[in-house]
Amino acid sequence: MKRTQFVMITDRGGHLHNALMLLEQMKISPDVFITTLGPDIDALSQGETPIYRVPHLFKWFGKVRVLNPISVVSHFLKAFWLAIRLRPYKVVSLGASNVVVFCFWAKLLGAKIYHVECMNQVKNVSVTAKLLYPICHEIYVQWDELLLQLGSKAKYVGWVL
Amino acid sequence: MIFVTVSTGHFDPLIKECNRLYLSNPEEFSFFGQIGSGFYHPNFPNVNVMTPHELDQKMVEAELVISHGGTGMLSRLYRLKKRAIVIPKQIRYGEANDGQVELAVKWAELGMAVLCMDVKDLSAKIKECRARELTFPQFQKLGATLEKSLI
Repeated sequence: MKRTQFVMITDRGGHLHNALMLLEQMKISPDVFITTLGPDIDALSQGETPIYRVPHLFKWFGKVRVLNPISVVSHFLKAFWLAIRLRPYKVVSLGASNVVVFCFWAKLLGAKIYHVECMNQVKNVSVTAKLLYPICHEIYVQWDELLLQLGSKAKYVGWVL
Repeated sequence: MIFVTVSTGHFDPLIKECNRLYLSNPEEFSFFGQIGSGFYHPNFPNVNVMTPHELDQKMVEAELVISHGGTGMLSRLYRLKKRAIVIPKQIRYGEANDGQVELAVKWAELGMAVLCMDVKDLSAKIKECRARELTFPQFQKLGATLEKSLI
């Protein structure tokens, strides 16, 4: 099966918004988009790029986040299936937690992982970035204050706006 | 018109304070609200959700915008170079974490919005926002560098 050149993966909400703005700055588009289900992903459906969805790892009950075992199993399997099917050369992640599993599977299958920290991480590195750092080729932060908390893979080269 | 927007979640303490101001002086505090999934329904005109296009349109029409501190909303305001007050959702207002505070503070430090950390200060912040000139600094484009790595 032919390998996919460039996959972009992002959670919905602000992360998705960051991803769309980042793409506006680039002359290339992802071959595949992976995201989670949400009311704002309709904006993506209007483009030509194929979109795949991974289930949410967590369920929200009001403001309480709960790890749902069924969703977790389903998430791991779907992420694995997508990694096998796409076998990407390069993956750009915008976070948050729902991107991590796919990135690990993709890395195991030979992908280079690039993570872009979300704009709202100003002084503290996200858990996603900490988890992905060991497997990332490069991590881009949007505020230079964060460089002090990450290693040599981290870069500050501006922001997505 | 002052446009107050809370995205898809809820931020009832903010909407309640806006309603109190509206009832005290509907001309000075002429609000239009996008109240998300909030349980509190104010007396001023409002909707639950808006499309991205409708949001942009309402922001352009508004004299000033009162927004929560979400990345998407602040990005919109930056692009429109809109006069705005940013009030981050916080644990004390029922949010799960204070994740919006860092960005809201940074936004205000850069002069791109007036920061309001307490809904009780809203009236004073509206006055401040009406009087102040905001600045919108330009930054390098991250995508240009990332693109080189991907080719």
